[in-house]
Amino acid sequence: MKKMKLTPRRAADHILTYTLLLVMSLVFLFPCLWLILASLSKTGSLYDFKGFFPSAFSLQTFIDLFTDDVNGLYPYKTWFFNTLYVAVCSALLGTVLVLLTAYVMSRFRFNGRDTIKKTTLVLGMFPGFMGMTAVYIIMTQLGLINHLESLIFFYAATTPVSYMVQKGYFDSIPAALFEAARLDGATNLEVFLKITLPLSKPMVVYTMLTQFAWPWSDVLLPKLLLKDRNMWTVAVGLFNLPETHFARFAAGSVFIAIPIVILYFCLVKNIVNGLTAGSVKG
Amino acid sequence: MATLRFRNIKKVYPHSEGKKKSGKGEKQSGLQVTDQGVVAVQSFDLDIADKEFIVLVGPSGCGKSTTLRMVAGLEEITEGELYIDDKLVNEVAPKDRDIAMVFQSYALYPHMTVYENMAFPLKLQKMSKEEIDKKVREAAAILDITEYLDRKPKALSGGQRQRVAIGRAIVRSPKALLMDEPLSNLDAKLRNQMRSEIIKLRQKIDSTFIYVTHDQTEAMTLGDRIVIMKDGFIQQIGTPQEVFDHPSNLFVAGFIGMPQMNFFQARLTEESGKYFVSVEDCKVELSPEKEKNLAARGVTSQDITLGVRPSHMVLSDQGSNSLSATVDVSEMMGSEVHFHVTVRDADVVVIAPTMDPNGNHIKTFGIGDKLHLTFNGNVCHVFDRDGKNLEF
Ligand SMILES: Nc1ncnc2c1ncn2[C@@H]1O[C@H](COP(=O)(O)OP(=O)(O)OP(=O)(O)O)[C@@H](O)[C@H]1O
Ligand SMILES: [Mg+2]
Repeated sequence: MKKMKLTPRRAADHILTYTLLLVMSLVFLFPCLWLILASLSKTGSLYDFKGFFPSAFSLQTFIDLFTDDVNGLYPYKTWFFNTLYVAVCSALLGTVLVLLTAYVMSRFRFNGRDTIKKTTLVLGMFPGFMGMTAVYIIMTQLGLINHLESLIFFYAATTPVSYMVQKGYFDSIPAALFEAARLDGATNLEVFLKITLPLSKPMVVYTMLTQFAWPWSDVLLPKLLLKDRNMWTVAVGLFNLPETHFARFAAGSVFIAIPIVILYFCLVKNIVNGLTAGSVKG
Repeated sequence: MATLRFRNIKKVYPHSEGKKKSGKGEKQSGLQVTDQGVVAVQSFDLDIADKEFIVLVGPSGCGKSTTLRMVAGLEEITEGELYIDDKLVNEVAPKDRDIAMVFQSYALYPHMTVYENMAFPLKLQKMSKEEIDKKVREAAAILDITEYLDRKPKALSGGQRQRVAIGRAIVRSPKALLMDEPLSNLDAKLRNQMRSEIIKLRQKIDSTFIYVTHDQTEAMTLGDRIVIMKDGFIQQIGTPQEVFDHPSNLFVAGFIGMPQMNFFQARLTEESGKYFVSVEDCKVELSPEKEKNLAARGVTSQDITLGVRPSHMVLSDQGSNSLSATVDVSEMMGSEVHFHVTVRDADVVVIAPTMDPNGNHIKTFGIGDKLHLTFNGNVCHVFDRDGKNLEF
C-alpha cells in the first residue's frame, strides 16, 4: 500500500482523530485495567494502593478465590458453577423459545396474531422489576424459592416477549425460500430446521450471547429468589462482599468476565453478513 | 403426469387489517373489490390434459401468479374446486400435492451447493443416497449444469441459477411443473436461449406444465394452449393459432400479436344475408365463412370496432374504395417495412414486404407521404361496441 502524501492539513486531521480515539479508549479501558490490576494486588486492601494502583502484585487472590472460602462465607467456586448452570440452561432454553416465537410471528398468519403482537409490545415497555413481587409469589407457590431452576424458568420464559429483533431477521429471509421448501416436501419443522436456522446463524449466535449474558450478570432476580448462600450466583455473592475483601471482589469480577470473552470469540466468526446472497434475485 | 381441473375457482384477498380502503394501485388495476376483499381471480374454469403445456398470460396484476400459487397450495382457494388427477386438492398441503414450482426469483437455498439444492426434495422423500445421486446427475445432465454441482448459488450467473431452479423442480419428476415468469430476470439473449431449452426440456420429461408469463411471444412459442387473463377473469383459452386468428374480444386481439392489431371505428351493414364493413370511404365484404358465422348469430347492422392486423393491411394504388393515410414513421426491418400511418385520426401500423416475389424493390414512402390502404374480407375482426367478437 502506497503511503499518501502527508500534507499539514492531513497531519492535523490525523492527530486530532487519534487523540480523540486514544482518549476515548482510555476512558473505556481504564476501569477494566484498574480492576485487573486491583485483582492482582498482593495484600488485597484498598489502603495499600499507591495512588491508583496497588504497590505489590501477586496471583494469590485468584488462588484464594477458589481455595479459601473463608469458613464457608464466600464459596466462589459454588457460585461460579451455579451461575454457569443457570446461564447455560437459560441461554439454550431461552434461545429455542424466542426463536420459535419469532419464527411463528414472522411466518404464520393466525387469529389473534395482531393482538399478541400489540400486547407483547406494551408488556415489553414495563421494566422487569415491576413484576418482581408477582414472580416471588409465583415461585413461592411453585416451591422454587432457593432453587436455581426458578431462575432458569424465569429467564427462559420471559425472553420470548422480546422476539422483535429475531422476527425482523426472519422477515428479511425471502418468503420464496420457505415456499420452495414447502413445495419440495418439507414440513414446517423441517423448513425451520433445514432452511431457516442455517440461514439465521448470525441471529442465533446473537440471541445465544444475549441470552447468556443476562443471567450471567443479573443481580436483582437471584437476590430475590435465592436465600441460601450456597445457592447464590457470582453476582449476588460479590454484591454481598464487605469492602475489606476488595481484592476478592476484583478477582471475582475479572474471573467472571472470562467465559463471556471466550464465548464471544468462539461465536463471533459466525456473525457475518450476506448469508442469503445468491438465493433470490432482487 | 397429471390432469388438472379447475372448477369455478375464485380467490379473494381479504382487506388488510389496517382497512386501507383506497389501497394504492387497486383502482387502476380494475380488479373487483368486494366487502370481503380484492377478488384476484374468479370464474376460473379450465381442464388441463396430461402432459399439456399451458401458458397463463396477461398484463401485470391480472391474477396469473395467484392462480399458479393456488395450484401449488401456497394460496388458499376461496371458492371452487381444484382437482389433480381427479382428486380434490383444495385442502391438501403443498408438500402432498407432488407439484414443483420454479420461482421468478429462483429461490435457491443459498447455504447449499447446487447438488444439495437439487438433492433436497429427494432427501425429504427419504430416498437412498445412490438413487439421489443418480437422479441429481441425470437432471444436471439434462440442464447442462454438471460442472457447477459443487458451487453455491451465489457463485452462479442468473441463467445458471435459473437452470438449477429448474433442475431442483424436475429432479423428483413431479406431476405438474409450475413456472412463474422464470425468464423475466434474464437478459434478452439468454431469455431466447432458455426459451428454446424449455421447449427441449419439455420433450425430455413427462410432466404437465403450467407456465406464467406476461410476454406474449413466450406464450405463443411455448404453449400448447394459452389462457389469456385480465382483471381476474379468463378472456380466452385456445391454441396459439386459435387466439391469434380468432380473438374472442378486443382485449385478446390487442394483447396477442406484435405489432398490435389496428382498430378502426366502423359500421357493419347487413344486406340480404351479406355483411359489409365500412370505414371511411372503404367498404369491404366479409368472407363467406365470416358471413356464415355472423348470420348464424343473427347479427344485424350496427356500429363496430374493426380489427385488422398490420400484416393484413395492403398498400393500394387506387384512390377509390380505400383508406387514405399519411406516413408518420417508417421503420426498415430488412425483409419488411413497418409504416406507422395516420388514418383520419387513428394510428395504424402497416407491414409491407420490401420486395415482391421477383426480387423487385417495392415503392417506399417517406415521412409525410400519402398512401392508400385496403384489406380483405377474410382478415377482418368485427367487435361490437362492448368489445366482444361478433363471430363468437
Ligand atoms: N397477498 C396479497 N394480498 C392482497 N392482494 C394481493 C396479494 N397478492 C396479490 N394481490 C393482488 O391480486 C392481484 C393479482 O396478483 P398476481 O400476483 O396474481 O398478479 P400477476 O398476474 O401475477 O401479476 P404480475 O405479472 O405483475 O406478476 C394483484 O392486483 C395484487 O395486487
Ligand atoms: Mg406474478
